[in-house]
Amino acid sequence: MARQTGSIGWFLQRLSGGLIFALILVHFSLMHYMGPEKRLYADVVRRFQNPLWKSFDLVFLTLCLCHGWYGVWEIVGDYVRSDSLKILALILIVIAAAGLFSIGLVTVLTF
Amino acid sequence: MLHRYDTVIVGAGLAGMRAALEAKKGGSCCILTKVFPTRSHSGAAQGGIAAALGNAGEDDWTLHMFDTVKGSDYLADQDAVEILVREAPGTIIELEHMGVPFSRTPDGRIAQREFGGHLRQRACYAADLTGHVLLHTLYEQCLKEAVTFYPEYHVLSLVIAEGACRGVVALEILTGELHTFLARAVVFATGGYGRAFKITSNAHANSGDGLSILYRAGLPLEDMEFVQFHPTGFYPSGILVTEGARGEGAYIINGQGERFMKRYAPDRMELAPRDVTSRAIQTEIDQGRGINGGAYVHLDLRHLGPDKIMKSLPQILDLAMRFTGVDALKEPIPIQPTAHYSMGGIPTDNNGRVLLNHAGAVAQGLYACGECACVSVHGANRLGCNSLLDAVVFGTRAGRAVLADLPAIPRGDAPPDSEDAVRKELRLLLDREGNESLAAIRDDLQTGMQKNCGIFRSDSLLRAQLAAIGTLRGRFERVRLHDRGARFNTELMELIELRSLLDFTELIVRGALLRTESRGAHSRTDHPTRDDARWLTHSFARHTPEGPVCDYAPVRITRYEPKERKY
Amino acid sequence: MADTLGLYTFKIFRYNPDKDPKSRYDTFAVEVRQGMTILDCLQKIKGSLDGTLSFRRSCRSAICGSCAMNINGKNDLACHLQVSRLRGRTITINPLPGYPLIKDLVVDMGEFYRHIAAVMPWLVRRSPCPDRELLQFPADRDRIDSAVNCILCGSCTSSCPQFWFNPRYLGPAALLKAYRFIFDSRDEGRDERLAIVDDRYGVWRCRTVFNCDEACPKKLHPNEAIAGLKIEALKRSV
Repeated sequence: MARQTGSIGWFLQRLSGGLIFALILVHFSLMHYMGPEKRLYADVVRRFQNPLWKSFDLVFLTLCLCHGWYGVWEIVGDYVRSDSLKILALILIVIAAAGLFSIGLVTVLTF
Repeated sequence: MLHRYDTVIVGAGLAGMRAALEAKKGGSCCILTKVFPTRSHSGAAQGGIAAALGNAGEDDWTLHMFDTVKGSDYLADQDAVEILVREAPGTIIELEHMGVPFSRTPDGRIAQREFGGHLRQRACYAADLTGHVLLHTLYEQCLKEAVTFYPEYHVLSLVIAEGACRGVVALEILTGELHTFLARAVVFATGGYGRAFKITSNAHANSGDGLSILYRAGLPLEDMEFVQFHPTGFYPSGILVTEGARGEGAYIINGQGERFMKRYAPDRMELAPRDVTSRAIQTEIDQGRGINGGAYVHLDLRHLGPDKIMKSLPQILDLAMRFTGVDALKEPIPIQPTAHYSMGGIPTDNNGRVLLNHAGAVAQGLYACGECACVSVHGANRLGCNSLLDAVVFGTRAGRAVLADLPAIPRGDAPPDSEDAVRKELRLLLDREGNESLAAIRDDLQTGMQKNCGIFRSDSLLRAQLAAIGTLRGRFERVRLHDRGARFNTELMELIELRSLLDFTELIVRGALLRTESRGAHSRTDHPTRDDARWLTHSFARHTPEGPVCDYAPVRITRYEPKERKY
Repeated sequence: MADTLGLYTFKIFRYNPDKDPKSRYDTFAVEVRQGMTILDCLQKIKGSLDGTLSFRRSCRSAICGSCAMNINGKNDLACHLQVSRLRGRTITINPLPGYPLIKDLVVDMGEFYRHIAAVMPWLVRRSPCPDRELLQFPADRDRIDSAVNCILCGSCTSSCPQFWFNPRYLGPAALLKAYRFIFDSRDEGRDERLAIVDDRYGVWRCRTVFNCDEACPKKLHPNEAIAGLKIEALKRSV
């Protein structure tokens, strides 16, 4: 691969941003505007029985975390000058991302 | 501090940078400039650069030559004009190949518009930013060729040893330190001297420093009495409105709503040469036919339509709004004549070599090009679009002359005390006690020059101005500076510039006083006609302890005998 | 036209490390007439109140780009800004932000110029040129029209937060210059030049803050140019 110029990251960020926007529309209308007046535990369980919805949420989760992780990392790159602070920030971001991903994974896969 | 180069160029406008591109081929080369290169005043040229390309109708160099000679009121040296116009088309093509983004015809060629005094459409342009794009392109070429720049270095004097110019001494504005630049060839491209006048289109930097430096070193200055007033400067600031506006078809209207140019130049109307048009406007104003009797007339663009104005004159539209509060699409612009260009300057031969005297002896290692030089291709009145051309053509020629001469010029050494005299002078200026204000003297000088040595001159006015300059010189000796520090001392710079102004305004006035005729931009109310029998000559003013003295040299006439000049 | 606008207070940033390592603000009262620009006022202050006040200026017609400064919080050219256009009676003038200070309103623009020089700002031709002009159709010329009008005043780069924190970032002015050549139909140096701007400190450092567009006194759009360059750079990577 050629020298990393930031172009791929920039492109993926736009791509993931666009996808997240589409997924978020689906998610919002489903969770807040469609379906029964009162959403019950059983409704959620029923939906997650469908492997398509499971994949939907897994993709959603992955995209959001990647987008967010990379975005924060870019901000650190812009405004943090010291290398050691950068490494510290990277560790923190990775831990946070990994933690959030695990919680999400557990939630989705449990059903 | 000591620097050594083969060629040192003073001034980073069009002429200086074009010369550098040539001189660089023959050895090391640097450019000293008191403003950053792209801040040079070449960039303020708007309308165009002339060449008989024939992209907009038949044209050839002989027609361009005749227009230029006639425009000059027959004072231009015709062999030089021939060089200028014959090399013009090639020069434009070369500039285009360097990347100049000219405006284009529908079929992709360089577009050409009409201009004052040119009987054909021969002004190549880039909207109304022609000088700007040329200046930036040449700066970019200099970057490409790795020309060394010393920006914000103010050159103060020549280094002279064994009767030859060996370099220059310059003040680094940032630190206040002096630097000696030793060189085998020194090229002056320091621009014009419009700052001598109150109402001018020129930049604050255009104080004629280069002329003053050479004059102080004992060299003559040629045709200083010829100062061009551009017909259309904004009222009241004097900032330039391009002749391209009239080239596109704008009208000039007086207070009675009349296109009065029909009384002054019935054939060419608004597109008469600048001296004719400026005199016409001034006459209307003087005779009470300004707008509401005021000191301005109107430039009307409205009939051109918004599309054409926005496409061809975008800068004028913006500047009119900002400097006069007028929306040029809806209202006429208030304008007045404004001091614009100095036809005179450092006398050179046709290759930019500086002349030592009116007899034509050449100084070794010293060159000049651009507005500061007088070849003379503009004679008594320059045509619009010929100045950018002059800067590039003779910039190139000066650079090539350096190339040709370098092998024969020995590498000299600086006299060890080269900086001492300058250092002493600066100390004197900095430490002087007194009660005079630099700004007040400058203002009085500019106001006086405007009034007494402006578009119309007369014996009594000129004598009054000569006396005034004497008084101002006395006051100059009592200027006390507020800023006595070394770091970026712009007040000291202004004082040095004022000294230059006082030097050469005296030459303008004296030259004008002696020339008892009216020719081109020099118009004497007490001698209203041209006198070829006596005054078909160039003046060479030189310094003597008793004050400036003028010598005269004949005009070189090759193709066109002087005739009555009518438009 | 000589109507007076009354008395204005100018609050001007002052700094001269040779005398005092700390900066301060000086205030000057100036009688302003109709038609006076900020530069006219500065000249008046320098000429009659305080000769030590230092600032750059030259053409006074908004083409040389010397007198860019921060006026009432916005970068602009002092020479083309009418006092009457500003609100309030107090005008605060600071040097352009983001560049090292030299003295008063004068800043060190060395880095800015180096960035301009870094994008190969000249027309590259490999194939031989004809005896006549290279043809360029008006539509092609129009594409670079606003980019060639840049006067290198430095207002845009000075307004960019990315440049404040990363002076290595080429900045909007240099990228606009790159655009001017990459999109010039006559240029043949596109790939080399794209390789320069396709960099972490090139176009990808731009976060589309849009400060540059807002700061430009000539109403140019460096941000649009950068967007165009990003697309070109991306095409190059994929």
